[in-house]
Amino acid sequence: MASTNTDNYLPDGSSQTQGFTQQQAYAAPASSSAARLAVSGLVAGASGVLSAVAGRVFNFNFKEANGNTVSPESDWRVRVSLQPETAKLFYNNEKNPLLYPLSPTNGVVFPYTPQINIVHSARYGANQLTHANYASYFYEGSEVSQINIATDFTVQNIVEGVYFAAVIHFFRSMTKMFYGNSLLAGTPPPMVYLDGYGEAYLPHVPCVVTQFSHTMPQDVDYIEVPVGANLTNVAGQQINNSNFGSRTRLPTFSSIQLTLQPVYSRSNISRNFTLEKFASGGLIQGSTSPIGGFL
Amino acid sequence: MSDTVQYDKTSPYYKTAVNQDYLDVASLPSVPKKLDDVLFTVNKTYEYRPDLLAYDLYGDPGLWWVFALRNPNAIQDPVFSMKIGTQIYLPKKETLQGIIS
Repeated sequence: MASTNTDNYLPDGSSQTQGFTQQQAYAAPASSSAARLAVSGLVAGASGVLSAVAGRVFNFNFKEANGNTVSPESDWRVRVSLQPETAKLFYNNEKNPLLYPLSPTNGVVFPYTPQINIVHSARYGANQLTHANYASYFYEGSEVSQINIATDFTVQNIVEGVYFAAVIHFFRSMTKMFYGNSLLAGTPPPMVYLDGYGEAYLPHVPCVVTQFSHTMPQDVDYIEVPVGANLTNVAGQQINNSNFGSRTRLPTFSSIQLTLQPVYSRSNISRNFTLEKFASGGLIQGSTSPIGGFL
Repeated sequence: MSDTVQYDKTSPYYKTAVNQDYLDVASLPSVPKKLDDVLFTVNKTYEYRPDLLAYDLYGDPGLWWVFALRNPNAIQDPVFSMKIGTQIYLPKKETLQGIIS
């Protein structure tokens, strides 16, 4: 009799049994003394509490002048996201506390302006004619080369640390295929979408992650972060309480390099692409529509 | 047999000399100020109750006096200066262990 496979990675994440363990919820005070301290926002020993140091230096969600939060889709910052259904497998899966910090920004938002290098090229072959002063060129094809993104991350508090750990793990995951016992086994690594600076510049470009590197410097401090902790639960609890999160040390300053390759399906190109339409902006409008996203 | 009293280590008078009939001039311990001491605003729970706060934080109500010594400007009277809204710094337990050990 075949054994029951319990490790399947269902689209709703419901049977993700081997994932990162969700951290325990806020524990009820065990004594009247603990209750008094909890009400007063204190912890035994007068140690510091997470809520006091979990200030949000990184502005996760921009706000308009009237105070309303700007949705991630309207944010002009550079963002790498997933298609909505795929996102449910990764950062929009509440059972994945490691990646879930990316959910409020619907993907990875770079807190510091990244350096982005995009090369559009037209390839011509040269024909060196005999007894001629000039070479002849014939057109071979065009392409959008790999997009290189380099940016910095700082970790100065727990909130930033949890987000940065999610960023690293997200890009690691984006270079792996579905494999083994997964219901999606055989599927290549997920496609990501690159947005930023408005759809006239990075119009939700479909890409694959071809390389990701994280440089961990030797000359900066490393701080301890409870990766995977639900910060709303641990506020008021003692720092370094091993009950919360996986204690991970992250550099206070580090850099990541990301290489994305824009990819368009053959059918999309054949059905939708014309140079006239591209030049007039018809292929960048409606950035999330099937025909948007052309560079 | 001596009839002088030996105060406990957690008492503020531990280092004060004891003569036969009276305490000498008080020699109170100093509670060092640490940058990461927690700032606490006294609430209704701990109003006039430094002993209760000391018990909850350090497990010893006998350390009621540490708040006054840590916050000499905010607390003139160890008990009746602990009014609601008074902001005081709370020395850490590790800091106190260095004092009373």
